[in-house]
Amino acid sequence: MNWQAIARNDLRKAIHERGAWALFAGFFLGFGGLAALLVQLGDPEFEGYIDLLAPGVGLLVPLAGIILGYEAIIGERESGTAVLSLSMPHSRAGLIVGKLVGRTTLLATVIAAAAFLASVILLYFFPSFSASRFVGFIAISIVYGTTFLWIAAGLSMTLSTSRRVIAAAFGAYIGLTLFWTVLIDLTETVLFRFRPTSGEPETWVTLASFIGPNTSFNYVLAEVLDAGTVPAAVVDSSANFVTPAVALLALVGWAILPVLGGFLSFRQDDL
Amino acid sequence: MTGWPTVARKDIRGLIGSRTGKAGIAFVALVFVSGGYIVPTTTSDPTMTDYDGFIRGIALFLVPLFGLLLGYRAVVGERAAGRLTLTLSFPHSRADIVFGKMIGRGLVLFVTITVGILGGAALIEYPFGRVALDRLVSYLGATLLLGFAFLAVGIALSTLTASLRRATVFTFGLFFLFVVAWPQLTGFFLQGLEYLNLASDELPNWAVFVHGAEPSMLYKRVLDTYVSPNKLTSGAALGSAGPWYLQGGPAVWLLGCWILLPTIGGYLQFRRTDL
Repeated sequence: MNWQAIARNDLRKAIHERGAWALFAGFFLGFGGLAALLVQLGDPEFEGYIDLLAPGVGLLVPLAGIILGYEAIIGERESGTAVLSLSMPHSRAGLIVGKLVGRTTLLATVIAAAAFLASVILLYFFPSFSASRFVGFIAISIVYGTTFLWIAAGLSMTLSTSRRVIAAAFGAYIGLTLFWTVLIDLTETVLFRFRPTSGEPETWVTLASFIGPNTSFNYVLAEVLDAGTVPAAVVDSSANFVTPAVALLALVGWAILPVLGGFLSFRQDDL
Repeated sequence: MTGWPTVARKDIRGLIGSRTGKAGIAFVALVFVSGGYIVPTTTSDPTMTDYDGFIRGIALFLVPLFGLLLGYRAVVGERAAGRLTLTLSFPHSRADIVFGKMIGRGLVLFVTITVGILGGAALIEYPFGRVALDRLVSYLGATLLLGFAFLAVGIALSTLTASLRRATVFTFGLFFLFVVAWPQLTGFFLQGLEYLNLASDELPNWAVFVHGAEPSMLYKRVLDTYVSPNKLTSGAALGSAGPWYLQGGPAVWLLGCWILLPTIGGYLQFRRTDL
């Protein structure tokens, strides 16, 4: 498991690429731009800022994760670097761990650096700025982005051409962020033979909607940091599994299971 | 008898690997699942009995056809392609080939039908109905027995001949005779027996037994006893008032014989064939 060299190499390459800097610029413009906009409108409130930021982060951070993650293994594989790396004393597990550590560090650094620069503006213009809430917000966003990065990396290990990986990764992005609850509701409708259902939704429907990454993320933000709104699927649910801990566990599960599955198939793939 | 796992494994891989094989397997499983989806749309509080009533007509054609199609090329396909002599030049015996193929293809049949029926039963159970475990197990077991019986017959047929075309003709002839024609022949039997002065107005019990000893009719009898017992009163000779040998229990054993005897017979035939 000689993954440190691979992670270091991955990071070093990323620093010299325009993509990582563009991502950094994008996040800084997002965080800072929203703050500037609120300042322009007058009477800036940190509460309003973080409420507006939450849905935007919920859609854009996963996209960054997907973009950083999808090439992780397939890029190496298609360019032939993977064979070369593996001819050195690296195992396939080491390659994967190194890549994941490198890319995750990159994502975390980009988001954290952009947020840090933005927080200077916030500190200056927003009298009600709360550093601990902002740090918590950014930390949860990084976990959320990492989830999608690892999903994309898992797909990148399983599928054999980069076009398929791109299609599957963006399909996963759209399906998990925008359509997850819709898909669950559709499944319920089909299962109930299109008869109208009334009253409390079934427990499994609530559970499945709740553990969708976007729902979990928004729930944790709203519940722990009072940022954004509690997702509609669980807003008045009395189920005992609707807790921040379960939501975080769901995010971690969404990250680990694809990587595990990807590793199991990559381990025995013929490169 | 040590090489059969290899034969079975290679056989399964060949079946799952081809596109036609995959499509056929998926189709059979899908029919059972979709039956489970459709029944609750028309029945309130559906049970396995409703599922059986809805799907029996389809299952009576589909499962025998699936078993025969899985089995009919098993040996003759390799023989026609000349691979059989090659396989036998390895330390595989002829018994390995027949039983390995039976087990490999039987496993494919088992998984397909089990997945299909369990999926269908799950869709019956949730959200509207109720599936009793004993009924489910009886239904699954009976359908599997029917499939295995026709698989065994198909494999036995495939040991008889060296030409693929003849094997195909045999198979479809047998399918037509057993599944399509045989259950309709009651009238002919009655007329024949009346002519011989052995029957008047309806078939005597022993004739019903002989006529009903065909796998698909045995399957109906097993289901009428264990899964849909309310139908028992309708069939005059098959009712619970009938003699013991027309009940479901002996029918299960007879279905078992339909699995064992063709397999053994096919092997004995194949053992002394000059390739």
